[in-house]
Amino acid sequence: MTSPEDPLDRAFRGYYAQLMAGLDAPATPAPRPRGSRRSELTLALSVGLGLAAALTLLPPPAGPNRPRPSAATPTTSLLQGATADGSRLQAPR
Amino acid sequence: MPGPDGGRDAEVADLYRSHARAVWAVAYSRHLDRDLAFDVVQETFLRFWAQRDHGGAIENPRAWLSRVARNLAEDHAKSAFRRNGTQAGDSLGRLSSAAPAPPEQLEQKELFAVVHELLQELPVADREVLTMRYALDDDAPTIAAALGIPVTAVHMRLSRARQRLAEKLATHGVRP
Repeated sequence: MTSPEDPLDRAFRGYYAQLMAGLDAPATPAPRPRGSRRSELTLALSVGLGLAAALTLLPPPAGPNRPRPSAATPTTSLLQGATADGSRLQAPR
Repeated sequence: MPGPDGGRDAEVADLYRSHARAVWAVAYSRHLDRDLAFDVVQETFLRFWAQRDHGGAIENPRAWLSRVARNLAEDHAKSAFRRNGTQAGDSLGRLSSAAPAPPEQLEQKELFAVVHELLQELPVADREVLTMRYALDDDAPTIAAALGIPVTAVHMRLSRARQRLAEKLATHGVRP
């Protein structure tokens, strides 16, 4: 076995030590079984996605400045995959 | 006296302290991506706890954690392949450092870049041996037992990697 003082050993050790520094740092918490940060992030993401979905389903604002969809370029609903008039999009043949 | 949750937290912390480095090493030796390896560590321990919460008995935590980490790392490889074709995106060749670089740090950064380049060229089996030796400080018999290979193979791979590193450093004009 080589000596720990060997410069090549030291290079490999140093390389891994700098990469693994965050694993042992107190700033990196051990994962918690409940109420973990991952769960909080998932909850926040779910709320955000739900809000986005609700906003998508709201009717567009009324008034003279309301943008009108062009007949030549049908708009689609991301949630339903249908054109504005309710017909399904056709894949090009 | 800690309550039931305090005891569980302490158990998780103990498990994390004992095995996080080994789990990280499994993921890092596959992708050479530090941050991805950290993500795999977090996900692996969350799954470990979920399994325990659902009453699943885990007799050998290190073996279980290593197996899950390996699966997660391989799943990542498949999804990265779908996204990026035959390249692994920017996950390879990335060494993160936000610190300013005085001359000695610059030399060290250069040295680590050569080590990283060497690891990229090695097969995963050789990287595993190197990672266990230098990141986990495992000795050759421990590595051999964990990977199911002869001790002589461990020595051979370590020796080969060291020789290649020496050649690479000479080529790049970098002192180890």
